[in-house]
Amino acid sequence: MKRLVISLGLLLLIAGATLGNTAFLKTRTQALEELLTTAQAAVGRQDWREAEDLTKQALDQWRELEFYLHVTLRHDDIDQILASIQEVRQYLTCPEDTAEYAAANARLLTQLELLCEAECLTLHNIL
Amino acid sequence: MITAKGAGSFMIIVLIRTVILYVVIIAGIRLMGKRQVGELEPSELVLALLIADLASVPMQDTGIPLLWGIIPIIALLCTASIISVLTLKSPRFRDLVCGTPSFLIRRGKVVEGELRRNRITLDELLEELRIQGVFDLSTVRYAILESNGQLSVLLNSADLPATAAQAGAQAQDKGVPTVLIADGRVLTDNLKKQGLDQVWLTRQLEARGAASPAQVLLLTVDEAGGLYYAAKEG
Repeated sequence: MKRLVISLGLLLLIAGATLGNTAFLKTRTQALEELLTTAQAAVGRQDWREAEDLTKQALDQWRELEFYLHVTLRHDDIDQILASIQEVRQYLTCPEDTAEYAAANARLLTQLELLCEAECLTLHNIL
Repeated sequence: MITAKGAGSFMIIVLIRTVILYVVIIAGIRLMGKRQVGELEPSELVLALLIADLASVPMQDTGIPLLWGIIPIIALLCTASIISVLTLKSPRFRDLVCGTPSFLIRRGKVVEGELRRNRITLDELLEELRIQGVFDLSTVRYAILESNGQLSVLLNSADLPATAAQAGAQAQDKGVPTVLIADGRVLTDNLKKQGLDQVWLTRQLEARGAASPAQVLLLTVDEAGGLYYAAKEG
């Protein structure tokens, strides 16, 4: 009986931890998405300085999470997002490339969305 | 591009991951109990195959978090543990998970239906019987295919070897032999447990022409005082 309780407890603990991880990831990626969307709006107003600041904030937040993300997610996905943030920042240094910036930012937002979506407990992920 | 330095650190990461996964698996298998190691029921076979596969992926691919290997392994071990407790508690559940023994030979007659159901040919049955030391099918009363895939055989009463009791002979229980010297090393704890001492041991060795324990490969003593002695070669 003790073994049954321990095993059930451990399974529930793992399930809880994985659900917690999903919720945490969702919150953090949503915060990043907000920053990047606001940055895009700033570019629309030609406020390149604010856009740069917001994207830099997004990069810092991503870097803060790096250890946690490396422990829980596929390393390729994390590195890809880091590279995309750097790419977006690079486009912000050349104001004439608004279209390129918009495309890179949209790609980054999609990557973040997909990363979060892949962790969600949905029937389509289970199947 | 992987540089020489990069390749070196990659190797050490693989090494550390391998050791961690190995320790996790060994700890898990030990927690499952001894039965898992020796006799594999169908569910246990599946568990062993899955664990081996799950462990090998993060071991080789450092781009995958170690947790991706450890979490499913722990989940599998927990599930297997729950199933094992439930099989102990419920005979019906046990039959469902482990299957039931099949009588391949019943009262001396081969049961063809059971052979077909278990997808065993007559040749395979005869081979299994030969492995059990039975060469004449007519001597078999029952042959049962156990749920772990092993064949148990009961011979006709007339073909069973006579026991000491049946033969009316006096048989002495010798008990389990205790090792006193293994590969030249005296096991003093075992010596004490048997109520023996170094003087007794030296006398026994001298009687067998050994100058020291270093010349002995194996020395055991049973509960009746019987000794088994094997000297080292050369």
